Amino acid sequence: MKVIKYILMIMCLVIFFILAVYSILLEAKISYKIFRKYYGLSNNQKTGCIVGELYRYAIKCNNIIPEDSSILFLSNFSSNQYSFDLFLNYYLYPRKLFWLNNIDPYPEVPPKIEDLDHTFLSKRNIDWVILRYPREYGVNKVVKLSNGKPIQSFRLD
Amino acid sequence: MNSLLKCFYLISIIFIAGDVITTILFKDKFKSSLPLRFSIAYGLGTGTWGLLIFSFSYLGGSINFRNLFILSLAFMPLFIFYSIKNFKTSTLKLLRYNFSKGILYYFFLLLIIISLSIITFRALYLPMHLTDDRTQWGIKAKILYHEGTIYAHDFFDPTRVMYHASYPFLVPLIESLFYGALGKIDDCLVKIPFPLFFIALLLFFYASQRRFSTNGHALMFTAMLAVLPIFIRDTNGNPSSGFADVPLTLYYTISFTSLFFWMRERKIEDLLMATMCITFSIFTKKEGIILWVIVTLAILFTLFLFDWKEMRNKVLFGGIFVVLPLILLIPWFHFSSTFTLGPWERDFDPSYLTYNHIHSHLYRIPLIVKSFLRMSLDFKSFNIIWIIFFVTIALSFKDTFYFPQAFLLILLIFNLCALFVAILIYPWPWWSNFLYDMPRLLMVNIPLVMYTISYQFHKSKFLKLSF
Repeated sequence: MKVIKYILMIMCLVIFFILAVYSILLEAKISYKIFRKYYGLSNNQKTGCIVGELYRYAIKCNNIIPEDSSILFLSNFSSNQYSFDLFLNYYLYPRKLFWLNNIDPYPEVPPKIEDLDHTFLSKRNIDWVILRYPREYGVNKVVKLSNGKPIQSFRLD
Repeated sequence: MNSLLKCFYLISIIFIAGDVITTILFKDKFKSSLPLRFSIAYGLGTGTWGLLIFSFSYLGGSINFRNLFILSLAFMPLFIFYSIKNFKTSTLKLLRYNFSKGILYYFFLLLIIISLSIITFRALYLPMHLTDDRTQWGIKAKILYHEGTIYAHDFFDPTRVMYHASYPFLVPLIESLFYGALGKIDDCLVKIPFPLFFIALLLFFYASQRRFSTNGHALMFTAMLAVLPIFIRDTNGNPSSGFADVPLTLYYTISFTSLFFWMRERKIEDLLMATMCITFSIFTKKEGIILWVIVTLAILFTLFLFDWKEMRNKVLFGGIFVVLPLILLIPWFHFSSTFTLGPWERDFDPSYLTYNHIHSHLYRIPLIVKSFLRMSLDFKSFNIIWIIFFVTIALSFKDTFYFPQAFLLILLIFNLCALFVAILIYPWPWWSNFLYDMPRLLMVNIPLVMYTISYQFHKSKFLKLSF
């Protein structure tokens, strides 16, 4: 019985280390590919390659919106909820991103900017709005506000 | 160049602070070997700096590199004093190191070195690109660096886009210190502390096994831990990313192994070390509180079943483990109570433990069990570590249920049950994400699983490796 136990345990360890060597060589190979692929690129360029569309979207917004701004984020893409806006928040900082409210942060239909709660906007110094809605709504833009009213609009399509 | 020097100073001061605190609290107890000294110094150093900077900001101080430098001056004279005092002993120990080893020794060492090289390379070469490293910890670190205070308005307005604003601040604080040293936001270099957490974990794992086993035995199981795919693959929570899972794993591992030795050898230093590290666990992730409660329950349960005679005595001492974290974390508990939580922040509320709520989620049970089984058999996440674990338990069934090793198994069972219940009662529609994130959720338990296997191997004398 003791011999069987020994053999079983040794077999387990041998299988473990065979798989370990395989997986570590695989990861080493992947790391080498990563090195080759991103060699010479800046951090921002690497992020652009890895993160893709979301990062390019954030850069577009950053090029339009000044750093000291507060931004209202309006979108209804429920399949991506709690992700796109959170990642965008990371790349837009120090610009501050806000939801319309924290109970239902994703209004199904894009609200009219003129109808937004003026007190809510002024309390948070919100002077920009990002609207990101599916193509059928035709609303994918950045809007600059003044006293709660839209004064300039930039398309992001 | 200047920023890299500052970064080097920051890393040094983390180790120095940890080493000084170890000396003050434990004298030479955790300095018997370099791996132990390094890992404990890093664990206590990061935890202490996190708590210290948080308390400093809580009292109105500003979080920046200048203030960190001023605070660090308190540790310098003590470090120099203790280093001179202990110089002879540590130098002699280094000189006694034996370099002639067998082929297996070099094989295990090579695996560890390759694993650490991959992890460190990816951490420093690739910018943050996973989920929580940016959406949860990274954004908070940016805010702390930019605003220089924990009282930034961003944390208190529930309409500000923020994921788990009320989660503990240790990881973002450490990251913000690195931003402070670098003088800018750097998505790659900010990850310097994370491979170090993993190195500390491996060194501690090795050193803690050396308390009962040979060097070969300890090295083999450390190598097994180092090469697990969940640590070297580019997935959520790995040590190359900026997740809080590896720091939590380090603190938790130090905590449960110290408790294990406290039950075995009854040395108060082990209990104190466990208490310090569970405090840092609570300050690292919200799960830390659950782990703390579970560990407490597991201790009581183990003592009740296996050490009834000594139970009263140990429970009195064990009170330290329950009370001290509450005292040390008073500023954090007070601060976090001032948050206005959004509805989605209430992930795990005791109010979910109602019959109706649980009953409406029962359909999840087979899915959770299936996910766990699939994951444990998938060698791309855990190699065959779960299979080895179950085989070991089955082959040394009698030994497993002896005191104190039963504590490890009880703790693991409690942890798995807690994870199961957490997924079962999770109230939001995206609960199924957990099924695919199971390897990360189980990461904190992996050193426990490996430690149980290692101890069982030692007790059952399955193999004896000595170099």
